[in-house]
Amino acid sequence: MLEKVIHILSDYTDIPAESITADSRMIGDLGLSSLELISLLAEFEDEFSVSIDESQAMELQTVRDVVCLLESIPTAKA
Amino acid sequence: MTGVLVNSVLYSDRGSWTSIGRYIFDCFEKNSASDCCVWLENGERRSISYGQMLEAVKRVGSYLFTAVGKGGHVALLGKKSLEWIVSYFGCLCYGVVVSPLDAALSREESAKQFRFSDSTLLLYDPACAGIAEHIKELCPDTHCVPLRAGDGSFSAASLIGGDFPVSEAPELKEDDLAEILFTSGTTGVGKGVMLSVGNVCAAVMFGIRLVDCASDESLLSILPNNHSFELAVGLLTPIYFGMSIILCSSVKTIKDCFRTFRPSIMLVVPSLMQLFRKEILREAKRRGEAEKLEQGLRIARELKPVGVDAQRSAAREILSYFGGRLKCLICGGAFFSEDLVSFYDDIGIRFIEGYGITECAPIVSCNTDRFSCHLGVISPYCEVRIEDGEICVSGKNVMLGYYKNPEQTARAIRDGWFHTGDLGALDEQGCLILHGRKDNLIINSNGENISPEQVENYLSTKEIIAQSVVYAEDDLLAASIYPNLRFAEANGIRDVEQAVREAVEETNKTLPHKLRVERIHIRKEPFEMTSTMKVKRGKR
Repeated sequence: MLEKVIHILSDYTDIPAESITADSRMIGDLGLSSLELISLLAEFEDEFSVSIDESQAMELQTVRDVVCLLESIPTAKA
Repeated sequence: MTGVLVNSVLYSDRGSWTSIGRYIFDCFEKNSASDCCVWLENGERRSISYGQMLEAVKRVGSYLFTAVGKGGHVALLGKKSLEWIVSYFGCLCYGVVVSPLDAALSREESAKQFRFSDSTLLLYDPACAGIAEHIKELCPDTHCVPLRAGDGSFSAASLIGGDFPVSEAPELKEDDLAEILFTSGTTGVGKGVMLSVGNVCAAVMFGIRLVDCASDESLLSILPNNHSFELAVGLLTPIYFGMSIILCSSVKTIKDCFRTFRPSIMLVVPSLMQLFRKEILREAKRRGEAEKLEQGLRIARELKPVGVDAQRSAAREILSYFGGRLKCLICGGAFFSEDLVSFYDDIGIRFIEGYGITECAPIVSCNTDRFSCHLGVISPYCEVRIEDGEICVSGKNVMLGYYKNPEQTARAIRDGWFHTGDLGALDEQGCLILHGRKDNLIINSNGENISPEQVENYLSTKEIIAQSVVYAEDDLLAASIYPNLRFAEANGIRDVEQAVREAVEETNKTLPHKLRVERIHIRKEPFEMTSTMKVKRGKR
């Protein structure tokens, strides 16, 4: 799951995958804006076949938070 | 564009209203056959005509008028929806004072805003039911009404489709309080900006003179609906032209809205324009068409002297991202960099940029050409003067004052001039130029105002943090922090830096995105203090 998430983030931000870790901050380190974070939810929804409520984007501070959120959705395809 | 332009900027052939209620009713009656609002529901296109809106607004407005009376206070909570808009218009038409609350706040902060507004009735989106319950617990006398109810029970939606008796709207005076909008402050709920019927009218009368649209065109805005820019320009201006307002409350679904409704006008802040540009470039790269896109942009740029049509033709691929019809961006809220403006200008999208502030309802000036007139000509509804470098505004759009805060009102409005806190100048053409802020207020690319002192107050509740100074760094919030070493020692904390980071993380979790500290710099020495024992901010 973590590798897939990092791959999507790397593709979206043009930051090499090896520079992104579970502790990377979505906004502070990856340079995403709060709007981009919400836009990214649509990418995660497509990739993992889940539905993510926009309000949950508020909780996503690090890459680990994204992985935890996806793992908490039983139907998410790893 | 068909209207008659005055001073190359303003259209003269528009009516004039001093009652916002009369204006709304007249627009609805004049455009009754056109679609007023359009939206997607489970992927299906839905719409409501101006004629149907008139009936809906009368029913919901009559209910609110009956419930709280003219001058009674009602709060609105939730993202943009048909029911939210009908309720907002209903309040304005029936003289009910409306406070649109910030749906992004925590339940505690929302409840504080609600209490401060002295509202006795809350209309809330079901997605905010938790906040509504919290408000009800704190203020048991509050009447909480959902905007929609899945089981068909009483709600704004049931009023719209029901037969609640319509009463005659009361006469509105220019000085009547129309809305209380919250803007950032250093503590607590921030400041409640009181806008009168006349203030709202002045903003809208300027708005309808800036653009010219047809009833078969549509406007898309996803700006938060507690922002004065969104209310005046995104909701109240398009109804004059009978154009459709596209209800889209999230960037998650915006591409579907582009495809389905093909907007001709959009209301944007810099962060949105950056997002769209990035996505266009990323999509082209993903399809292996980055070079083709670059070529299209270059040709469009070269065709600029030939005219907009040629530019648009060369940039057809890029324009298709927005549905193909986008012709105008109305921009506000924060500074737009020149390269961002040029990207859209190159592909033949007209760029209207304004300067405004909530306290001025909000538009003070507006341009139609960034490259020749900075932030544009001053609204005919106000005057601007520069006092010690500060932009000061006087006129019909200047607020009544800050709600329940006469001291702050007296500080801001002196001799009839509202002191904006923005530094600027007027050039020889009378166009406004912005230089920055007089105080520490941070304005991010979302157009959100952030008081660093407010964030510092939140951080100061953590014992491991002795002093902090919050500031903007690359459009993010950064904090320079001096740890409380005595506390660390007394509690056996060895990794002080990690403890500070965890404390900031914990604080962040309780705050909306805009207030979160994303970068931390730990200081080895305490901050220098002023004679009044305040941290010297410049010495971070």
